[in-house]
Amino acid sequence: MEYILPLGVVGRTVEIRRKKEPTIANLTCLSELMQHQLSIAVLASGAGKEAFYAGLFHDIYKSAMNWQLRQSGWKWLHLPGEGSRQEIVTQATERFKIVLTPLDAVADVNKLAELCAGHHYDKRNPIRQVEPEREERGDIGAVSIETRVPLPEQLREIAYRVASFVIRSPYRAFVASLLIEKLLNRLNEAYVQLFREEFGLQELHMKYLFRQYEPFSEDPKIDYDDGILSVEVPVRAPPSLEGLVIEHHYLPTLDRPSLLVREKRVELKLRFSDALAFPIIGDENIMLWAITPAENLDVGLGLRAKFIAAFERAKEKALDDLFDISSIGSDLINSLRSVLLDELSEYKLPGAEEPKCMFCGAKASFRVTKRGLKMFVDIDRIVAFNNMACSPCKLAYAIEEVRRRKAGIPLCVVPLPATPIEAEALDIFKTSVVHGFSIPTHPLPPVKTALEEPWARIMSWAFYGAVLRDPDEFGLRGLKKTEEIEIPLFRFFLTRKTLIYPFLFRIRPAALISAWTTTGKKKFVLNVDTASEFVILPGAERDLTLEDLDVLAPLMYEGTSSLRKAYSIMRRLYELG
Amino acid sequence: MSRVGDEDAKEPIDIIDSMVNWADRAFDAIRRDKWKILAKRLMAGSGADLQEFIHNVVRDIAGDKVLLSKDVGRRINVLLERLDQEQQQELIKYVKRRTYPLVVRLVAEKAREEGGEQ
Repeated sequence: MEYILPLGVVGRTVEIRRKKEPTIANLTCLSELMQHQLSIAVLASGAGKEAFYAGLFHDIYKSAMNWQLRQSGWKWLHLPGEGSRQEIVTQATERFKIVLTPLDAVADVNKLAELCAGHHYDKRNPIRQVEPEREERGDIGAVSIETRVPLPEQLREIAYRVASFVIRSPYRAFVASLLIEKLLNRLNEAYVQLFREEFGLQELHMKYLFRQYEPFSEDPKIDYDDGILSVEVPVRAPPSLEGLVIEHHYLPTLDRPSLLVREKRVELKLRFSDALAFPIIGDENIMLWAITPAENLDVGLGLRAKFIAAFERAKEKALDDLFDISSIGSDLINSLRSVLLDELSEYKLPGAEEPKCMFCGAKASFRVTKRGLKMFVDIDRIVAFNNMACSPCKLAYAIEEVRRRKAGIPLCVVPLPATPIEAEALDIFKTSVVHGFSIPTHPLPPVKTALEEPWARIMSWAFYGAVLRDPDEFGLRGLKKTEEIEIPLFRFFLTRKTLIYPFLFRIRPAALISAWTTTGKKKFVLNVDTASEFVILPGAERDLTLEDLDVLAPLMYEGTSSLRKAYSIMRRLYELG
Repeated sequence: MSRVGDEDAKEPIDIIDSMVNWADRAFDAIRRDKWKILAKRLMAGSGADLQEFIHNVVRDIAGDKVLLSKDVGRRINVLLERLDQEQQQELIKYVKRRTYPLVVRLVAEKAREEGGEQ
């Protein structure tokens, strides 16, 4: 276990079966419990404050890991109670009432408890309406809102497309990356403002405490103080995980997420937007989606409109943040400010007599350099032989001009949702917590839906955070020095394995990467961009690929000094910067 | 042996490393980059069999600055006896395809065996 990075507790599995027929497969879902509850809370919030808080707590007893083998397979029973369905709901309601009492300052606890306890059984329950039972999801409905390209129409029912940027050239991809990072900060503000105004919530602290106990013999502890909600959840665990603590802190003001790993303690600081927004790559664009209240619940339509208005304001603020770069002239910034968002969102072709952008071929209105083309080395990257650029390419070029004299290879990395490729329950879980436990029922890869995309992005973020420093004022990052490497995170980087208890997930990380290389005084056009899910980091002659990481994975068992040596030689060999 | 693996592949890399007389003054200017040089030469290397492959890569890197000990001779013989012609070609391909990560692993494992930084 010391070689595995624990990041959370699993939120759900997905059962695939046709109506009234046996289960075809029960698949593991790349879903984290608190993130899952938070996204359901937002979706259900149109039904009122109680629905929002019910979303936040409806699955909280899943941490008891009460898996029971039934005729149709393993069932994850997560309502504390015994007997008939009605008896279970009654008992669970009483338990929820007691546990959720601290929320009486902000919500009707009786109603809240009923919503939590009835989230599987009452068809009018808002949780059930946004998270339908399997037989309500259609013919073979399991992954009803799976994200793929082209995106399904259903995605618009649960999320809003905050931005879509055309990334037809490396410079455009670079500016889009910078803007998305600024947007995530401003979206966090938007979520917090609405959570505070509508539901009285501004901070959320989740603490998973791993210990041995009988299912439902312990309860979560909840504290609410002036918008600060703290939750301690006992997680039923094997003896070897006794004492493990995983903390998730969703905070209103946070420049960027952080991850601290100590022996038996993992602390993840996140923005609400990290759990609720996600970028997706399309054909030639990158889109940023943010989860919104479902329209079909009570005041959902109006509430969704409020969220969307707040997201649009966030976009304007993010644009201001993007231009808050002291080392670029104010005249240029003023002229770029008015056109950048339009030109980045839409690829505008030039008219017959209009100049083309030398980097992407779009309509151009900014002069790049007086010295002409002779200063460029990567002539093959230039698509129009003039010295004009569109506003996104001009901004990227200006940033590159300022930054290129600094040492190292600058990287701009926007983590994209990772793909889960394997999941298996911990052996110790199968032998000492739930005997004989077996899921998935088929050797199929785990799944994720749109609701899990933000969490999948967090996994890519953690992966890249293992080797990359925090961004500078331009949003550019360099590789960590050897002594800055945190060994548990570097092990995760090598293996791509993480524990979302009780499942051990292996992921394929993804990111939109922009970088450039410099030699001497020669000027290179921004010359690396990738979102391939195969190239992990661009190297000078050879890239570090997923295939390479597979060969490197056995290093996970090495000690600290060998791992630092491995990192140092890896940097030098691949010339990663 | 039906298929070659990482452990087999690290052996010829280690053999080549120990055959190059890196301590020679001729390598003073480039010793810091010895692993990069080794990796690039391995990727560019070729040979009709493993022995020729090792010979060619060593010669490319070291010219006449070569060390040949009894132990190295024995290790080459072990490989040649264990692998038939087809397996040797398979091993050469395996090494060339995974040179960079294999070199990283070899260096890290050497650091562990030597109980400190190299």
